[in-house]
Amino acid sequence: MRPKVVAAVLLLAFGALGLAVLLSRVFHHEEGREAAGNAPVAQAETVLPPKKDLTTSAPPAVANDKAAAAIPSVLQEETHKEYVRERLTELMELAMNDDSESLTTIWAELSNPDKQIREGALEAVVQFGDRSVVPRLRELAAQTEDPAEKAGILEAADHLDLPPFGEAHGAQ
Amino acid sequence: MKLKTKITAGTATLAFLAFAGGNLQAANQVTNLLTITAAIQEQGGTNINANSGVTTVAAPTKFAMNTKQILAFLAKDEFAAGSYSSTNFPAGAKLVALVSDVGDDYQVVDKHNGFLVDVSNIIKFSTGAQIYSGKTKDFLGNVLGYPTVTRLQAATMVYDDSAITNGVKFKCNMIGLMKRTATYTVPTLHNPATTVTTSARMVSFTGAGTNQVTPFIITGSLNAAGRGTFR
Repeated sequence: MRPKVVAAVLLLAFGALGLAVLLSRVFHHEEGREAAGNAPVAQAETVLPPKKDLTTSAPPAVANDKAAAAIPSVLQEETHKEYVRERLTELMELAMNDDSESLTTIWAELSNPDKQIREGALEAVVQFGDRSVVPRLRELAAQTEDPAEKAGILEAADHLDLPPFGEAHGAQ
Repeated sequence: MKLKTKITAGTATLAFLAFAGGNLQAANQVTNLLTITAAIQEQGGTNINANSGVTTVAAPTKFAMNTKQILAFLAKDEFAAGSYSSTNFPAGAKLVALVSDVGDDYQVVDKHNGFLVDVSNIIKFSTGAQIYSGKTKDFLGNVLGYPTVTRLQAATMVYDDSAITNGVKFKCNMIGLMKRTATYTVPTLHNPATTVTTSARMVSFTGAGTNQVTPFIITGSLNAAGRGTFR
């Protein structure tokens, strides 16, 4: 009777050990597959803008936390690009007006935290063509630390300081 | 084999790079807001001293030029040509380039994008050989940027009203290196529309011309930006 109990206990112990090894292998395999799959997913999401492909109907790949975090940042970047593009167009359209309200809106964007919008606003100030802003542009240049941006503002001021060709030749 | 692939991709790029080309319909076009900033140096006056016989030529006079001033010239010219009813455009008027696979068209539109006058009789654009970079993909016969393609080419913009009687008599060529970028959204089964965002920039152009009969040199920059959606 006793050897039978010992044999049964040993059999159970071996069974449990085998199951543990099997589970461990499955676990490692899944982790390895995720790790291998995540690198290209994260890279693709970083390099390419989000888009859908007509040719594939496969469900989206399961991403880990790192990749999931990368998607919103890409989307944010795309949204920001879109915002900048639209704002630059708006500023250039405002520059074609003659009212002080338009100039005020353009001028406000010269202090936008986004450098591209500041550059667009400066271009819009030049297109607006109001020579009375020249002293204010020079003041702004004096307060600007970035040498390239400072040079750009001074260049805009110098350009606006020139007599307009149209006015000098009776076209405006 | 690699060279062949490059050539094929290049041909495809050429086909759609007119902003809305490829198999898209000819009616598809992108409206680009066009802006120009320039400095003009006009020939100085001449003074002949009768006593000494010395001719003194003054230094060139420098002027600023922008899109609004070009619009002012265009209004006067189109009025003289009988194409527009006033010598001025309303405030907020814009110079736009309508670009499609069948060619470019230049118009002045009001602030709400309403058509005012076609100015292609005065403004013309020509481009030379180009080099390009980026990615393309064939979507069921429509070769699109995937998502962006850029091309570089020498370009010339011309303002010439010499054919208009009693016009401003302003004529000039502006030549420079133009960088054009077209970015596409990829069509899907749920949303078959393709949106193309375009930009063109001539960071620096140089040219020459005459105002009335006075010669001048012009230097400056040109920008165009637009967007169109096709189905």
